[in-house]
Amino acid sequence: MTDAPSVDVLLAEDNPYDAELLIRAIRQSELVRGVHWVRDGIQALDFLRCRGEHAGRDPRQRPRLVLLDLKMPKVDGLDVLRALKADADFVVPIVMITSSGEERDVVESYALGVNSFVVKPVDGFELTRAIRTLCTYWLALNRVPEG
Amino acid sequence: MGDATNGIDRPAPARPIGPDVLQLVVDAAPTASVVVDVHGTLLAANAHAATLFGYGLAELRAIPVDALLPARFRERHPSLRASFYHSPSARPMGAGRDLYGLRRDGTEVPIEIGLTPIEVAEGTFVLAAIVDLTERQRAQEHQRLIIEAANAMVMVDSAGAIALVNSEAEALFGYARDELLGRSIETLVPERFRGGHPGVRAAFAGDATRRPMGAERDLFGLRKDGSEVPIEIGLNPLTTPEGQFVIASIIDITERRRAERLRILNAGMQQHNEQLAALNQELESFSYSVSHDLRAPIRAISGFAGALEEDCGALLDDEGRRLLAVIRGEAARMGRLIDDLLEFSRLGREPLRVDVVDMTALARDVAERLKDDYRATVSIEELPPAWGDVRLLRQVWENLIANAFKYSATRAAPCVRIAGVLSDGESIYCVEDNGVGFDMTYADKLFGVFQRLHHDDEFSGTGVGLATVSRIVVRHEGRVWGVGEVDKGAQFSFALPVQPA
Repeated sequence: MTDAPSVDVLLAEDNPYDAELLIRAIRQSELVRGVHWVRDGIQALDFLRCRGEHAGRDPRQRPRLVLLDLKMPKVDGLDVLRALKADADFVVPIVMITSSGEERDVVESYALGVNSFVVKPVDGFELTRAIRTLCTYWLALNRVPEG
Repeated sequence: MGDATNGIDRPAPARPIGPDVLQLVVDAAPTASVVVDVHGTLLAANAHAATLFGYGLAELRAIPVDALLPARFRERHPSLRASFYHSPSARPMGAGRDLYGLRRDGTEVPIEIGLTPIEVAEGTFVLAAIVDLTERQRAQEHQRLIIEAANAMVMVDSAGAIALVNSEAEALFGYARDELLGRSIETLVPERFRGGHPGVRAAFAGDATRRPMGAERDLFGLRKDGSEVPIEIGLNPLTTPEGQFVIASIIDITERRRAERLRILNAGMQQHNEQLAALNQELESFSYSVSHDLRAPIRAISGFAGALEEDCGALLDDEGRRLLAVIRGEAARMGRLIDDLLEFSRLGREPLRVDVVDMTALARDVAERLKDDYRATVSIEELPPAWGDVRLLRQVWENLIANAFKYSATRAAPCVRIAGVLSDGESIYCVEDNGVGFDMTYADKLFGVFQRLHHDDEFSGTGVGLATVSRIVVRHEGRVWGVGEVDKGAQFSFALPVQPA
């Protein structure tokens, strides 16, 4: 999965169990060929901008969807969102996936231009269902400008 | 022989009278005295007069009497003197005008002069007895100041008797002037200070300087009605010809005290508010962390139990699958508890957005959305409008109506009635059901957080609903209560002020 040439989804999630369950759910969607998991915001930006340990990656190989956990150490989801949306050429949809629907987080995310905001369901089955729906929408139904 | 009543000028008529005799006369006089002839020449002057005018005795005798007059009186003096000599008689000088003497140093001194003609063979002289009015004027001035003062003023003599009070003092202590004059100043001192007061008074007399009384101590005055008044006292010694007095200037500091107390109270309140704000802030970040971090492990428990079921479900028997279902069910319940608790905590922190709320429409909407899961008959009467935060009032209806549906669901013909009335400045709303009701013994537990009167396997719930209702209603300065009977239904009511001030 790592650095495979076709990464459809970039997942930034600091909690390994959450990540495992999310990846498990994402993989159940037949639309997704590759998932790349990073554990914080710095790694997410390094991956997308092909620097640090991803320096050799082809920048034209962009994922088709970015899933950002809101609360991560050091550079959190909002920081990543802010950095990515500052770049007008970056047209990959960004979806916040977070534990809580705190109003201020929702408000700030939208102010920064998030494409979607999803609260992770506590129940395992519901989580799987939600992620499957999410992938279907963003990978199959949604259109983005040709990059 | 002229006026002999004086008793001082009693010269022997046969003998020629000389300056020595005149000098003896004035030396015997108890007040400042001089003898002047028709020309204004000083024939004799005593030591009192020298002191009064600031001259040495010999110096004084060498100057004309006009030199003792301020310049403005000097011009007219010879003619006045001439007119006195024209019809000499013992009389006060100045006919009601204020008289002044000129001292050697150029200052003026207010005086009163008594003129007595001395007619002898050598001619007529005039004996002038001069009284220094400085002290008397000062005393009068003090009296005037006392009477006209804006503060309460009490003048006390050296024995502690009240010699003078002004109307402010009468008002402050509740006595009429006549009731105080001559009474001891201790009349106005509360019992507990009274014993020490004469001693303190004596100490002041021994070291009489203008100063505030009771340095650092709280002072109180005693009113006629027995009540006490907090006061501040300034003391001023006064020397008069009648003796030593003390003028006490008394300020009622009730208002100042009240203002001080209020200021302290306000400062305390301010501090309290700041602490509360800090606490709220802390709570906010606490619940923010809780909402993010507490959910993650629950999600893991539920998620991995689900994964296990998916991956290995076929390997498990019924009991194994039941155990997995219990794990997932309880994890889900924990998630709901956290959600409810966070929501409950949020209710207390968010500011109210107050507006007029159409309660009939709101209750109808809520009932409409909830009733799909239940089969109760719902009747909603016309409800008085409310003044409050519509988001929060919606939650009140949601909780009360959902409860009514839930606890009546086991009935053959479940029925929920919603009514309202305007009464005595309050809008009162009521949700009534014919459900399982509750035992009024536990009525005080209805509105506590996580308090439940039923087991989870009877009726599901987290025990936050009515606590939420109570918190919202209380934030609207309203009241909430419940009435019920086991198996006879329940009736929950809340009252909101028609419009908060």
